[in-house]
Amino acid sequence: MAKTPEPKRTISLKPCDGDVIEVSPMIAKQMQTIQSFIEDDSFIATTTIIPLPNVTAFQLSKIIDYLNYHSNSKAVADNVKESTKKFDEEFLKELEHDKLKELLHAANYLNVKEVLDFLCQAVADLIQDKSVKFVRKFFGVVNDYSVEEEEDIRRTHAWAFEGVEED
Amino acid sequence: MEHVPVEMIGNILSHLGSARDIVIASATCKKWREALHNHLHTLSFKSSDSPLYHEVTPNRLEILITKTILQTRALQCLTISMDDVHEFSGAPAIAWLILVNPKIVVSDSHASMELSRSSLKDFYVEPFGLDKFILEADLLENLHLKNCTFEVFELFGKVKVLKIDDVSVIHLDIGENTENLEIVDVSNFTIMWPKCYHMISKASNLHRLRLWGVDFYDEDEVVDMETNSICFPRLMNLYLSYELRDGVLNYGMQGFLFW
Repeated sequence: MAKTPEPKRTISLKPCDGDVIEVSPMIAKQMQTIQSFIEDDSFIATTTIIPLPNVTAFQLSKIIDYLNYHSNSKAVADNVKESTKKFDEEFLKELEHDKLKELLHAANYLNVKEVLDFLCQAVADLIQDKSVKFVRKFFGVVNDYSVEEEEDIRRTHAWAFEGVEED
Repeated sequence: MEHVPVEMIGNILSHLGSARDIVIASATCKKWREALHNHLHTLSFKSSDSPLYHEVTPNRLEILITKTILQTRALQCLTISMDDVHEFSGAPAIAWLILVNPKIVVSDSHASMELSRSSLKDFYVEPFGLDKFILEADLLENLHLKNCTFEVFELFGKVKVLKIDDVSVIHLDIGENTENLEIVDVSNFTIMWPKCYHMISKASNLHRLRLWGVDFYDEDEVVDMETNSICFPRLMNLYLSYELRDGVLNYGMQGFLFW
């Protein structure tokens, strides 16, 4: 840990259910929501604690983990790609579907693009080749179409629904 | 998940990529449908995605692709890859661009197409055939043409990545704005060397140049490389595989290589 050109200044984040977590400015910068806090004139890094009422300690630390890992392994040789892939897989393995969706919300609230894109891809992978029913159930979406409307959609896009197994 | 912002749904749909999955998922409820309309930024039609693309007639395939594209208003990245579908042409499918953008001029809807679409960033089409194709896109960063046939192809924009594979173009004009070009990848292509030289000579940011399996066609014009030696200060990767027609080009290539 020799190279720390950054000044000794961390950003204090307070999740809704835990103690303050300190992050480096480099990590904080990637969270747009935090960044706009920091850019505010009244912000004093040494004393201000940023409250995050919509983010749990678990979610926050997951997001920080991801950013830490990926910012350290950026722009390095090919063999790192393998371990990055492994990290990503492990990262998702620890998340049940509900937790994954909640984490997606947290990433969206913090507006951290890298994590958001990664999680959107993970969710997309889960609903790939699945029926409408599955997607509804997965996201807890209430169908607000009338029977006629839904039939109309299925008829207009019959090509897409052909051969999809309803479950 | 009922409070999912519609932008995020658009992002999830975009990561699905395949048009079929997107259409299915967007049928879940009205909000998801709205996401398809207003927030979908990536859409792809690949013949490998669904056996159905092989089962319908090319004509019907063009219609269903066009219809799907027409529902989107925020598309940035469009991929149409139907390389193994017989007689398919992407032309009618991207005619939607004309419909949604009044800036586009069409002189002959079938043979000629002039396209300007400001939000488009990535453009990948295969196969695609037109007599005349003029593409004007300010934000276009990636242009990938594969298995395409044009008599005239003109591009106005500031592309960073240009990939041409198995394309037949009699008249290729990339305009004067080549200073943003970073990657040029040309394979299975007959190059009019003076033109090509003129085109890339200003690409001072070029860092990857690949000319693979290309055929240099020189309209008996001697390329004088000594007075016009090319300088690519950032070039990191150079791949060449070409056939020489005569000694003139050999000389030309030497001048080209010793910048």
